Amino acid sequence: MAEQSNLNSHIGDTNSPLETLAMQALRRFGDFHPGTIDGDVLLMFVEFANMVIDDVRTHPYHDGTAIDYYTSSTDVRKVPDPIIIQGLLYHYALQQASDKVSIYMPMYNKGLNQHMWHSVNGNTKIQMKITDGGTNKRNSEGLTTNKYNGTVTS
Amino acid sequence: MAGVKSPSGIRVTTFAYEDFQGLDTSRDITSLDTGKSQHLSIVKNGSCDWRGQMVRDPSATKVSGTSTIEHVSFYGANKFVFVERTGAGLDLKSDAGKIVENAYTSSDVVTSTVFNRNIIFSAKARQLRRFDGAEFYANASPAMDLLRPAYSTSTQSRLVVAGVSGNETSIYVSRVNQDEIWSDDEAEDSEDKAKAFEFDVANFLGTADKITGLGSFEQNRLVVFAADRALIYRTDPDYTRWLLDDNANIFIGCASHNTIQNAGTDLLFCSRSGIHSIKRSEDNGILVYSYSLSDKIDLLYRELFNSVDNPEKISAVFDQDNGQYHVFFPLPGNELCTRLTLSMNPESGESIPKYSTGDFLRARCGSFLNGQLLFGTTGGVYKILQPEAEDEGSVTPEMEVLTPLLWHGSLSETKETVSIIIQAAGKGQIAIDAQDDSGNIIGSMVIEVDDTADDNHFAGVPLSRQYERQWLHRYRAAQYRIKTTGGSGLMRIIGFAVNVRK
Repeated sequence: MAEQSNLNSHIGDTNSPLETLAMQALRRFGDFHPGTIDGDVLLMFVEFANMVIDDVRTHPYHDGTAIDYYTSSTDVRKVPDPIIIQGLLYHYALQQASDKVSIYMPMYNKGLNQHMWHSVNGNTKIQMKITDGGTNKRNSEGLTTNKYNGTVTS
Repeated sequence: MAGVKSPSGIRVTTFAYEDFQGLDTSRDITSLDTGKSQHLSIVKNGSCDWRGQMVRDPSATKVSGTSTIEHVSFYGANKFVFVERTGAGLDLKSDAGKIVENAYTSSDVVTSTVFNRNIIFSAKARQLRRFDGAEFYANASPAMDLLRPAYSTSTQSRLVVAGVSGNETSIYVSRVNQDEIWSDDEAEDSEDKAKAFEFDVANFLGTADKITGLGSFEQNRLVVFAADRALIYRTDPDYTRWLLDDNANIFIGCASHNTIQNAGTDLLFCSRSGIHSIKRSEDNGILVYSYSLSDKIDLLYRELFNSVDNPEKISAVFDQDNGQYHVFFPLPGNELCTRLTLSMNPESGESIPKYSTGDFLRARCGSFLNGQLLFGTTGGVYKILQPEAEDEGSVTPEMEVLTPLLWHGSLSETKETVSIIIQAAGKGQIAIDAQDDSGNIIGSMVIEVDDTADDNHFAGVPLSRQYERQWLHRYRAAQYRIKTTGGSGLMRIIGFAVNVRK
């Protein structure tokens, strides 16, 4: 079974709806009771989430799978939930001119890179390997070297 | 339900508005932002209590009548008579169903007093009538049939009337404990000290003024109101002991006899310019003087006063359980009516009451006895419940409060708000909207208030009655309007605050 990054498995088997993620982001941000946010703010979170999708689409580790923009707050997209939440927190802190933006921005970048890397490669040992053939006889044994981390597999 | 999980990292300054003081129309709405002891521009169908909370007016249940009620009066505990307007005139009715049709014409102003355990009804140039709890009777005195006075009151076992056409400065006093024996009914040579008598105050007034109302005060004081001043008499069952009280100097007149109400040791009444009280000096116990209670709302009072075509139609009732004096200003057309309410402070030390208005049920008259308050409305007689009472058949008013322009500090800079906090308790919905100093609506929201047990006992919600909502707006100054809808029973708004970015 493929690895899941679903923070709300009680809601759905894949990723979480945006409105759920927005509530989690607001709760973590610390403003108000998240359930009291009006519709305008939720629409703003759709825009924020689409900026995060832009970041994912153009990320060097992205495998090129098509990811559509969110068109409503109830949409689900195949982007790991933590990326969306951290992206929402970053954009919301920026929009609110909160002091927290200086922490949320690096956290978002770290989280984005971490999850993208994880989805492309998983948690494997990183080794330095020659990938251009060389003289090792394994090259003639039909083995391939992973271009990301140098792991040799048959 | 403020966020308690983490600080948001937004630097804000909180501008709190609390300890509400009711209406103040003597200052412009641009100069009323005080924060503490905050006055308001509109308080409708609610009042500010002595603790400074805005409290929704109590619910009411209908008890009798169908059309416009012009006067209501208790004749016993839970028993009342009323004057109901019909197409032809004014009917006298009792709660038990006794009716005198067209007892008065539609322009008459009816007033009543209780004497000999009867309700005595009077109206200018109309027969004096009484109701003994079972039947209505016309006064049997031949002398009274000629007088037909407008005002009546009772003091020291005597019924006192005035406002007689042609004798506008004369006061007529009945025989002791007899409402049907008047001075002209007495033998001319009677030396009985209990006999009926009359006297004229024209030369005490010293002007062309005339009597506009009668009131009784303390145990043995009769207050004779004219348009510009009032005289106080020391009264006694023995007519030879009636004396003009020379320790009283009251140069305020009364505009409507039906507004004269006893409130504790004070006598409240309405003049052309405001609401006044007559009381005895606490300093020396001798001097009796009047003071104005309505300086804070002088403009509003005059506006309401001028909206009434005949000032004598203004009436009032004092609810001694809740310490409220309600004044009713019926508008021409016999339909609409505005109520002005003074809420007294039961704690000593603060004598200035708090003001509010109302149009609930279009109440236009009232009566209070034994903890029961009745309002006569355009649709019958209603019993007003206690503020916390809930009754299935009752109707509940919708409170509306409008703040003055709130500046949150600077008078010139544009402020950025982050959130608004409403502290409220009770049951119902609160709708809040705001408009800026240019009159643009900047936002609105609805908050459900429900302080039943399940809402009060969430762990981790430290201030269960504190409601914080995001409120992202920019303005220089704004007026906030708070309205309640639905629910019944006690609904209180304790305070609110606006968080503004630093």
